[in-house]
Amino acid sequence: MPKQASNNSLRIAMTKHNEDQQIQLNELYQRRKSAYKVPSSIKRRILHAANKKEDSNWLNFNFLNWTRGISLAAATAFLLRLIAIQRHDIFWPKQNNQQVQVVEIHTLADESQSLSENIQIKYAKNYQQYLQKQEFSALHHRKKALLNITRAGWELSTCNLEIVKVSRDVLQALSNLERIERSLRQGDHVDIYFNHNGNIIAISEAKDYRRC
Amino acid sequence: MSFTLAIKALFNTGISNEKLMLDYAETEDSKLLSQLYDKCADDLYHFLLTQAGNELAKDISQQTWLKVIEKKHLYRDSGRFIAWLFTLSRHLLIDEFRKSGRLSQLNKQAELSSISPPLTPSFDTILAAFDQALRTLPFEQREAFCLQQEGFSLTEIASITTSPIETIKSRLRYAKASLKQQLENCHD
Repeated sequence: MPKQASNNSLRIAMTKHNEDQQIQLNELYQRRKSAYKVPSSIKRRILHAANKKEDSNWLNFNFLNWTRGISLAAATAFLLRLIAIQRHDIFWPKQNNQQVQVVEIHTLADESQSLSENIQIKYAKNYQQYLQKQEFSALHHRKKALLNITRAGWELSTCNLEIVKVSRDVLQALSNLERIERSLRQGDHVDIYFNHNGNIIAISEAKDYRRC
Repeated sequence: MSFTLAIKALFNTGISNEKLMLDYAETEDSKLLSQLYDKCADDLYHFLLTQAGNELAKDISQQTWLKVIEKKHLYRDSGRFIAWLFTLSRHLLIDEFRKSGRLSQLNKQAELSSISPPLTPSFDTILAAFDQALRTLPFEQREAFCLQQEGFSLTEIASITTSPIETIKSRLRYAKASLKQQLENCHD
C-alpha cells in the first residue's frame, strides 16, 4: 500500500514535471517567435503586386465591357437593318432592282389642252353619267398598290412594277361617287378595283399586307 | 490550443481570416489582403525561418503571398485560412529544397545550424539553449513541433505535411523529448 502511494505520488510528480516542461517549451517558442518579425519590404512588394493585379483586372473588365457594348450595339443595328430590309422585300419585292414601267391611265390632263373648256365640262359630266350608268361597281379585278400623292394626283405603284397615275380630275370624279376613301395618306397600302373595261371603280385601303 | 487561437484571432479584429480571404477573393480589395497579411505574416515567416533560414524564409514567404493572390479563387471555406496558407508555403519550400538538391539531407541533424545564424547574444541562456536545441532537431520533427506551437491540430499538421497522424504523433514525441533533454542539460 505504501509502495502504491509512493508510485502514485511519483507519477503525479512526473506528470507535473512534464506539464511544466511543456509550458516552458511553449513560452520559449513564443519568446523566440516574438524576436522575429517579417521584413516590411515583403508586405510592400505583396501589396504592390496585388494593386497591380487589381488595376489590370479593372482595365480588362472595362475593355471587355467596351468591346461587348460595341459588339452588342453593332449586332442590334445589323439586326434592325435586316428586319427593315425583310419587311420591305415582303411588301415590295424586287422593286429596287428592276426597271419600273410607267403606265398613265385615266388622265385628263392632256385633254384640257386639246379641248375647249365647254367640251371639258361636258365630257366630265358625261363621263360621270357614264360611270354611273355602266354599273362599274361590278368588280373585274383588283390590284394592290402603294399610294404616292403628287401635285398632279396620285401615283399608285403596283406589284406588277407599274405606276398607275390618277389625275386630280379622275380623283375628283371618284370622290364625288364616294369611290375613294378620303382618309388615305401618303405611303398607304391600297387596293385598286377595276371593272371589265380596265377603268378604276374604287380605291380603298388595303385589307391585308400580304405579299404581292 | 487551436480553438483558443482561433477565438483570439476572431476577436482581435472582429473579422475572421476566412471571411477576409473569401471577401478578398470576391472583391480583390488589397486592403483585405493587407489585413490578412498583418494577421498571419509573422507566424508564417517564423515557421519558414525555423525551417529554412533567413534568405530562403524571406523568399518563400513572399512567394507564398503572391500565390495567395494568384490562387485566391481556389480557396474554399472548408478549413482555416492559416492552414491553407501554411500548406501553400510548405509546398513551395519543399519544391525549393528539391530544386537545390537539399531534400535528401533535410532530416540530418544540425542542418539549420549551417544555414541560419543563431539568435542574438542578448537573449538569455535558456532561450539561446532552446534556439540551439530547435535547430538541431531533424527537419520533420522540427516542422511538426513548430506547426503544433502555431496552433494546428494533429489532423491539420497531418494534412499540411501530407503524413499520417500517427507519424505526426511520433515526430512530436521525439521532438519534445529531445528539446526537454537539451534544456535539462543546459540547466545542469
